[in-house]
Parts: sequence; structure tokens; C-alpha cells
Amino acid sequence: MTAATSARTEPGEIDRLTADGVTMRFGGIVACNNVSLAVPPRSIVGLIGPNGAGKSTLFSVLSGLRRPTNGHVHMGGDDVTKSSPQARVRRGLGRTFQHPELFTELSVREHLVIADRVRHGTRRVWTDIVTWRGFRPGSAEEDQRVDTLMDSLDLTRVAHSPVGALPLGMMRLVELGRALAAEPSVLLLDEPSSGLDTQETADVVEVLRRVVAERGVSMLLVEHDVALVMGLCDYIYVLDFGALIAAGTPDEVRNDPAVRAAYLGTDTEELEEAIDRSSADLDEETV
Amino acid sequence: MLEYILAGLALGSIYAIAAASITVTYVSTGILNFAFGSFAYFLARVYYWLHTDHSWNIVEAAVVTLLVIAPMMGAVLYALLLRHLRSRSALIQIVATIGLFVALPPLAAILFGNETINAAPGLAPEPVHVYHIFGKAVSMDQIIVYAFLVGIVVIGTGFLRFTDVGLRVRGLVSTRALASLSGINPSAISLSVWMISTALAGLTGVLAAPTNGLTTQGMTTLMAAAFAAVVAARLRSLPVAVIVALLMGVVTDVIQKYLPASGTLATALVPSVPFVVLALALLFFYLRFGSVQDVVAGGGALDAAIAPQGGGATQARKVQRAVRAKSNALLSFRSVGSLVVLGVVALLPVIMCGYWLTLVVAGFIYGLIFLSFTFALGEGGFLWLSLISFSGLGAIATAQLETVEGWPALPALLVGALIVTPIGILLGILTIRFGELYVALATLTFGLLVETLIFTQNRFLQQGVGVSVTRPGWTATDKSFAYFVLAIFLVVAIFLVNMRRSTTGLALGAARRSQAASTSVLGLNVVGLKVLISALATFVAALGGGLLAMYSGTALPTDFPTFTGLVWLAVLVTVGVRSIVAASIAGLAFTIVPGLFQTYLSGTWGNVPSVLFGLGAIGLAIDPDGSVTSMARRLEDLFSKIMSRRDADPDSRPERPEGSVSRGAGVTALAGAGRKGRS
Amino acid sequence: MTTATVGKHVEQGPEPTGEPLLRVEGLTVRYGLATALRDLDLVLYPGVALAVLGVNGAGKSTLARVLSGLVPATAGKISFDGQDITGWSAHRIRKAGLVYLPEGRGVFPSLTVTENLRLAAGVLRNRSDRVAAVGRALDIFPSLKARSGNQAAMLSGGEQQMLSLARALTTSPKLIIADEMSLGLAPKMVDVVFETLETMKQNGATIILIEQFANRALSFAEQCALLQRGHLSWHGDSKAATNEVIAGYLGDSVATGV
Repeated sequence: MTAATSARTEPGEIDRLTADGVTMRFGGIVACNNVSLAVPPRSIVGLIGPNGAGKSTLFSVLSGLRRPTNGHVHMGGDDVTKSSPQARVRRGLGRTFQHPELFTELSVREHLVIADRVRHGTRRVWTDIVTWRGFRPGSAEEDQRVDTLMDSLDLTRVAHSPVGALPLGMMRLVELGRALAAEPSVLLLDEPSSGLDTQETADVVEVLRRVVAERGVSMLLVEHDVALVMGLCDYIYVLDFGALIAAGTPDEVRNDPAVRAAYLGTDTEELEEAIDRSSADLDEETV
Repeated sequence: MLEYILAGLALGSIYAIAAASITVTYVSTGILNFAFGSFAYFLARVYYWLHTDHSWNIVEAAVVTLLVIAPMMGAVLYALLLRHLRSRSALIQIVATIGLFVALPPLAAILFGNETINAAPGLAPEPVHVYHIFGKAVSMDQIIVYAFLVGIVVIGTGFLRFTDVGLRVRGLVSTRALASLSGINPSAISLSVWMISTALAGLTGVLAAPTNGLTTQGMTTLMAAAFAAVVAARLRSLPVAVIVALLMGVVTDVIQKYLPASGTLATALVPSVPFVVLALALLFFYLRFGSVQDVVAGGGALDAAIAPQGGGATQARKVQRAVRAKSNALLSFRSVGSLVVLGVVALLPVIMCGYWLTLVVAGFIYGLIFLSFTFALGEGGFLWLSLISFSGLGAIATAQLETVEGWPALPALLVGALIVTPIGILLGILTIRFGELYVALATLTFGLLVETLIFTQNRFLQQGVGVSVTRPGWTATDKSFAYFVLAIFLVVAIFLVNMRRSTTGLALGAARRSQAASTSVLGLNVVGLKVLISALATFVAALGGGLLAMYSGTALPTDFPTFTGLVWLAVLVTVGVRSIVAASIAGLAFTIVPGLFQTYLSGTWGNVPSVLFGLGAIGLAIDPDGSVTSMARRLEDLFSKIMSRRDADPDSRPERPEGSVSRGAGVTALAGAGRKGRS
Repeated sequence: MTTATVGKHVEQGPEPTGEPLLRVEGLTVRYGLATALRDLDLVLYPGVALAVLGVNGAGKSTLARVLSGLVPATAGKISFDGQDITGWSAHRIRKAGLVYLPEGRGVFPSLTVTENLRLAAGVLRNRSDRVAAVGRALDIFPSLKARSGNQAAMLSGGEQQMLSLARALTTSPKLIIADEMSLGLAPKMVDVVFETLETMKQNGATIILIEQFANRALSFAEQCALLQRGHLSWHGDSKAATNEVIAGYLGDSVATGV
């Protein structure tokens, strides 16, 4: 097992989510080959790799949409390899989507309210119909929880807007909020910055940091924007051709020759020299 | 035996031509033509008009109908309507083609006269010559049918296989995006496909007229049979569609050999052949693939990548306006405006009398029935084309309990509706993993099955008189019955509002918009929610059916043909599927508008309302964002200007955001549970 | 706001010939709510190969799709070969001489190899020209010729990519946009792809090469444009690109600074 211990993790704490030797085969193709990773408590872990490296496959194995050919997935030490996505949600696995999957006609607040009720009052989904609950206001604790969450996501001023009318950056925050309202222990974020401009990306990064600090949730994010991952994550795993080619802190990963080769392609000597030269430049800059 | 097979092959050939036409249209233009039956009816009616009414000879009439008028009709419809449909959601596509389905037959009646034609001449000269092959009788009509099928298969295959244009069509079907990158103009191909398939629809209509009769019902049945073959071919494979269609025809005729000619078994089994084929096909796909989803016609990764996603900034603006409109929209239960409208509606029984009062009462009942669409389509987001069958079953059940079993009226009504509800739940469960297209197809066929299998039973039909039903004693006058119905309407409406505003309502809204997020983020029990909605929609439809029977004094199953159910749908979507007030207005419009036409205009003009209802549904497709396309919309605007207590805001009109009928006209109060006060 | 002119580097580069072949001004593309390209300016002269680089989601494929008419431009103007082609449909742009070889496998899977080529040659007027074009394309790739009757779906990934190239070769397009042609191919097949593109270049075609893997593309193209979140973040001579590319891919950007 790969241990990624972040500075925030106390010794002896159990990893929130781990993949242990996960292999995924589709017919003759190996999309994931014996990959292990760990998401420790209160840390942000990044998963990067070029197009087609197997990131999404691994992601779907972790969220329970696919069952691995070999290997195991653990949550908080318990084997959840065979659990359904819904069961993992109940165990505390939250997720967001690359293309936000929102309920366009519901307001921001309604998104958080429904997630909160699913967490705190499952049976209300049914009893409400017969008890005329629709005509009575919600409970004070619920309002309290939802309002706090909206505040920490900077969503209060758009609380009653339908999410369909929001810019993409805010939609991602609403998705994040909906996931957080269910009080997860680990969040899987699928390309949280895709489609956003520089400012929106900076906003999302800011909120992610704050959420981890305030709520102690762990995150695993898949991103194409390596620069973002380098800046945000405590620990990074790099996949290429379905295998783990590097793992470490951002600095370790940045200077790993295998990572550079994966991103830029391995080719003529001339260009390899160019890379060497430029990495030397980069080292100088970093120093 | 042979003669049954020969007759079956003739029937199967007609199915096959229809199935081939529907399949080719679907794979190359992406639209499943729910109006096919109407195309067939309309063009067969044209042919009848030319040939029989105006005594043109067969060849001239056929050539003009099938080679001139039909392609022109296809081209005009493509230009006006069908080309807009490709980028719309499946629901909008279905509703718009259903609108066309509803509008064409009354248009034919206006143009060519109202007469009912139970048997029309085909393409063979009358009297139809009968040949003897191996001692078995084969009519000229049958030979012509075989010849057309063989001709179409040979020419069609040759065209697709060996010509450059055929190659382009196949390229377009394979992947549309790449085809246009290769310099192929998809619009030109789509136009030609619609012209050809309209001609083929006309051909099936003309060929089917001698046996099926020149009626909308006959043509609807023909279309449903063809749909069964198309579904068996998974909406894609032309050879499979043709072969299944042929087999269906043969089976239909051969089982008649083994059944007593006039036995109830025969009358029961024969019309259920398409339904059985459809059910078996769906079951097979379900077991094989786990779910039955709509296959996107002509799809590759690239097509998916460039597919439009939402409307961007324009859509955002619309949603924003829609929500602002939420607070002062006419068609919102909460708003003062809608309460005023409901108040006016409630006064109608006092104001009106005589003939108009009967229309108002019937309108109330239809309003209640339309609430079942509000549940199914507006809340659940699924398009059931068989709700009218549940109304019919509700009427039958009420009549049986009251008149045959001797129950009092009110318990008979309620228990009758409760008896029907499990059927709807079952249908809901069976279609739960189906794509929208398949839900519509399956429920359409189910409706036709109920119509032919159950509604024809003499126990219910009583030689066309029906079983009598009496109202509760205290509702003897039309006025008191009107308020009785209105009370039931209000109870259902309040239940609906409460449900919308409760957690379940939020959950339903969630499940309608994103199933993925509902299950994998919230862990919602979407299946349970859908079953609940199925039950509610069925119950309300059945209740309305029972009331309708009570009001007319007799439960006559023939009052509930599936085709009429499509008209209901067209009326309701024209006014709005999510709003309670819209349902009541739609109900009144459905009875009073035709009443006005019949009273003040003579003869064929009585067909105009049906055309208008159809056009209303079509308008939804051309302009789902609601630049005023329908009468009801204009009314709505007018009312909101008059009623709104706020300053006239030109943007305050409720919006129809793109992409889904379920969010259609009349944005209703979403009634945020736990909503905070807004300034 | 990114304003850049790739073409201006041509002044030092090889033979800048008069009018640009492609001129893009203020091009913006939105997919639903996401803005995939923002205010992009680009000038490309005939005979020049341009490598468009960037991580996934940077807007590379969107650029190709909007140029070829598959998706509409939200704002901006595209001129190609002296004509304003903004808003043209894809088939019209193809006929004007711009060929887009899409990401993945740009072939009709259900059609045979020959039929694929016949469709590609369909833009030629003369029937005899079309037949000759198909024959020529098959001659260039003997392995395709051997399988000319097979369905494209039955070919290997490399063969499908060859077929995609052969489709472009049936006519003599003015501009070829090749999108991630080397993705998922064995190194040997990648060589074949680049050799073929090289041949096209020698025959006078202007090429826009879209790649995620930078090195090979940079050695092929004279010019390089680097996209980041829909912006043109850097442009210039390929020889000077390596550092920029590394910084753009792995280096410091929005997040590191915080």
C-alpha cells in the first residue's frame, strides 16, 4: 500500500479511502494495472496523467460504478470493493462530476436542503406527502446547517437563484455544496476546474482549501490542469498507460523525469536534450 | 394453410413497408415519426378523394397522390417543422410529432369531407380480380402489395448499396458529424428522406385502406404494428424490421386458422400480436443489456462531442426570468392571479346554463384527468400515451361496481379507481429503465392493446350502449355535480401542491433533471419515486374516467380510444404541463372551444379545434422558449398583464426553457421547502 | 485577453507568401455554460505547419471544430483562403478546401475501406477523378489496399488512422487539421502518421497539428501555439517552444502562486 501521509494527518489515523492493487481489464485492454493509492484524513490528493492514462477508470472503480478485475477498495479500513455507489455514498463518499449534474430548475438552497434531508431525515421523503409537510416551514437545525454551508461556499447571495442561471464556476460550488451537505468523509472531484477561466479556477481552489480546513473532509481530485494540482494538493499520484509512474509531493512529481516524458512524449535525442536543458533552467528558477 | 400465409404475407408486407420507412427516417434524421399513421391516413384520404370522389383513374390518382402530393407534403413539413426537431429533446420530438398526428386527420376532414369510410378501394381496379395460385385465392390487391414490397426492397437495397447518393445516406447514418466533414450536406439528405418516407407512408395508407379501413383508428393500429417491428430492430436494422414485420403479418393470419372464427379468443389474440412482439423484444433487450435506452441515430464519439449542451447564456437568462416570473406567474397556484382564475372557473357553473353548463362540467372532469398528465409528465417526466386507457378502465370499473355489484356511487368511484391503480404501477415498474422513446412506444401499444382487448368485451360494451352509471343522489343537478367535480379537483390539486413543496417534490425535481446525481450523489430511491408517480397518475386518470362515465350516465369504453388520448396530450401541452390552473383551463378549452365552433360555425369547421390543439403541440417544438405560438399562451399573457398586481413587466411571462417538456409552459411555484423570505 | 499573431513569426521563417490562408479574429466559442475558446486571434500563412498544444480541455479540439464548422462560433470572425467562412456549415467548409481529421478514428465504421474513400472523394466533380483519387489513396497505403473490402470497424487502430489520412489524401486540401492523430497508436504507427503528414506538407498543404504530446509535434511544425483554458497563452517559433510548453503543462500557473 502506498502511504501518503500529509502534514495534517495525525500518526495512526486510518486512511479515508484507499485503492489496493486495483487492476481493471476490458477485454484484452488493461486500463488500470495494479494501482494503489491512499487518501489520508484532511488532505487533498491529486490524480493526474495524460489523456487515456486510466484516471477515469480508476475514478469509477473508487466511486463504485465499476468493479475491479483485481484488487480492493477500502473506506476507513473497511473493504467496500463490492458495495454499490449508493452504499458508498451512505458510508461517506461524496462526488462531483466533470459536467455538473445539477437539478437546473431547483434553487441553490433547494439543492443543499435536499442533500441535507437525505442525510438527516431519510424518511421525510415519504412521510411529507401524507403529513402536509409541504405547507409547513423547515426545521431550525436544518436551516442552520444549510445556511452555514452556503456561507462557507460564498453562495448566500445567490441562494434563491435557480442553478441553471448561474455561471459554471458557481455551479461547481453548488455541486460541491450538495456533496458536502451529505457530510462525507471523502470527496471525489472530477476535473473541478474544467471549463472555468483563470479567476473562477482561483475561486474554486480557494473554496476547496477552506472546506478542507473547516470541515476536515478529504479530497481526491482528477485534473488535467497539472499546475492547479501542483499548487493545491498535498500528495500527487501520476498515471500513465494505466500504471502508476510516480507518486509524491508536488515538488517530487514536478521534477520526476518519467512524469515529463509522459506529458511531453519520449522522442528524438535532440528534444530530450532540450528538456534536460529546460529542466535545468527550471531548477535554477526554483532555487 | 397456404391461403392464410398468403393473406398474412400481404398484411406483413404493408407492415414491412411502414416499418422500413419509419426505420430509415429514424436512422437518417434522428426522429421517430409518431405521426406516421396520420401521414398514411391523410394521403390515403387524398387518394380516395381523387379516385372515388372525383373519379380519377387509379394510375393518375396514385401518381398524383404518392409522387406529387406526398413528397411535397414531406418537404413542406420538413421545412416548417421537422428540421427544427433534430436538436430538441426526445420528449419534445415525440410531443411535436404527436401534435402532427392529431392535427392531420381533422385537416383532412376539413379539406375532403367528414364521411366515415370503412372500406376504400386500393390500387387494384374494382371489382378486385381474384387469381388462383395452387388452388388458393389471391386477390389483385394482395399481388400489388407483394409487388410493392419486393420492388421497394430491391430498389431500396440497390440504391443504398450501389449508388453514390445511397453511399452518402449510409455515411450520414454511420456518423453525421463525419459525413458533413466529408462535404455531405445533411439537410439535403434529410429533406429527401422525409420526401421519400412520406410517399411510403401514403403508399401504406392506400394499400391498407381496403382491409384496415380508411379510419384514424385503422391507421393508428397499422402504425403501432410497424412500431413493434421497428423496436424489434432496435430502431436501427432495416432487414430485421422488414422480416419481423412480415412474420407478424403471417402469424396474425395463421393463428386465425387455428382459432374459431368468431370466438372471443381470436378477437383477443389477433390484435395483441404487435403488443406481444413489442413486449418480447423489449424483454429480450432488457435481459440482454440491462436497460432499454434510446440509441442516438447516427452516433459516434464526435457526434456526441459536438451535441449542443443547454442553451448557454440565453438559457441562463430564460431560467432567471422564469424564476422571477414564478412569483407573479398566472399559472402558479400560489399567485393571486391564478387564484383569481380559479375563482372565475369556480363561478362558471353559476353563470352558465343549459348546453354551456354541460360543457363546463365536462371541462372540469377533463381538467381533473389532465392533472394525471401533470403528475406523470410534469412531475415524473415520463410520457405515457395510455393514460386515457386508465380513464376508460376507471369508467368500466366504476360501472361494474355500481350497476352490476350494486355499490353506492361514491365508493364505486373511489374503489374503481383504486382497482385500476395497480395496472399503472405495473406499467411504471416495467418501463422504469426504458428511454423516453421506448416509454412512449410501449405505452402507446399498451393503450391500443387495452382498447382492442378489454374495451371490446361485450360485458363492458353492451352492444355499444355501455353499462349505465348513476351519479350520487345529491349531485342530481349539473350545477351540484360541477361543484362535486371541482371539489375533487381541488383535493387532488392541493395534494399535488403539497407534494411539490415537500421533500418528495424536491426529490422528484432532482430525479427529473439528473438521474445520475440523484442516485450516485444523493442516494435517492428513484425507482420508488417513479412508482409513486405512476400510481398517482393512474389513480387520477381512472377517477376522471369514472366521473366522465357518471356524468354521461353510461360507461362506454369506445369513448376512450388511444387516439383521443393523444389529443388530450396535445391540448394539455399547449396550455402547460406543470401547472394546475393550466390543467383546468385545458380541460375547459377541450370542451368549450369545440362547442363554440359547433354552435356558431357549421359543418366541417367543427374540426378546426382539433387542428389547433395539434398545432399547439407542434408549436412547442418550433419554439419551446415560447414566443407566443398558441392561443393559450396569448390568453396567459393577456391575463398576466391584467391580473398582475405588480407593474407590467414585459419579461414576466412564464418561460418555457429549452430542452424539456416537463419544464414546459407555466412555470409553477417550486415552493422551496424551508425557503427563506425574500425581499 | 490574448491577442497574438502566429503569422508574424513567419517574417523570419521560411517564405511568407502574400495573403494568409487562415485568419482568425476574436474567436470565442461557448458550449452551454462553459467557454471553450476566448477571444482568440490567429494568422496562418500557406505552407506553414502549426502545432497547437495544450493539456486536455484547453480548447484545442474546440478550435479544430469551430474552424471546420462543426460547432458555431459565439463571437469572432474566421477567414479562409480569402473568404469569410464564419457561420458556414461543415460541408461547405470542406468543399472550400479545409479538411479536419477528427480526434479518435475519423472513419465511417460501418462502411468498407473503399466506400470510406469514395465518400471522401465525393467532393470532386468528375466521376473519373473520383475513381482515380480512390485508387491513388489506396496505392499510398498498400495495407489498406489489401483490406479494401473490409468494414472500417474491423481495421486496427493504426489502420483506421491510415484510412483517415488516406481520406484526406483523396483530394488536395489547402488546409489539414489533424487532431491527436498519434493518440493510442504504437510508435511504429505514429511514425507512419507523421511520415504521411510530412508528405502532405511537401506537397504544399498547410497543416494544423493538434497534439497533447509535445515533442514530436514541435519537431514537425515550424510554428507553435499553446492553449491554456481557452486562451492563446503563448505562440511563436517551435524551436523556442519547449520551455514554454513545460511551464504550461507542469509549471506554475494559477494555483502555485497562492
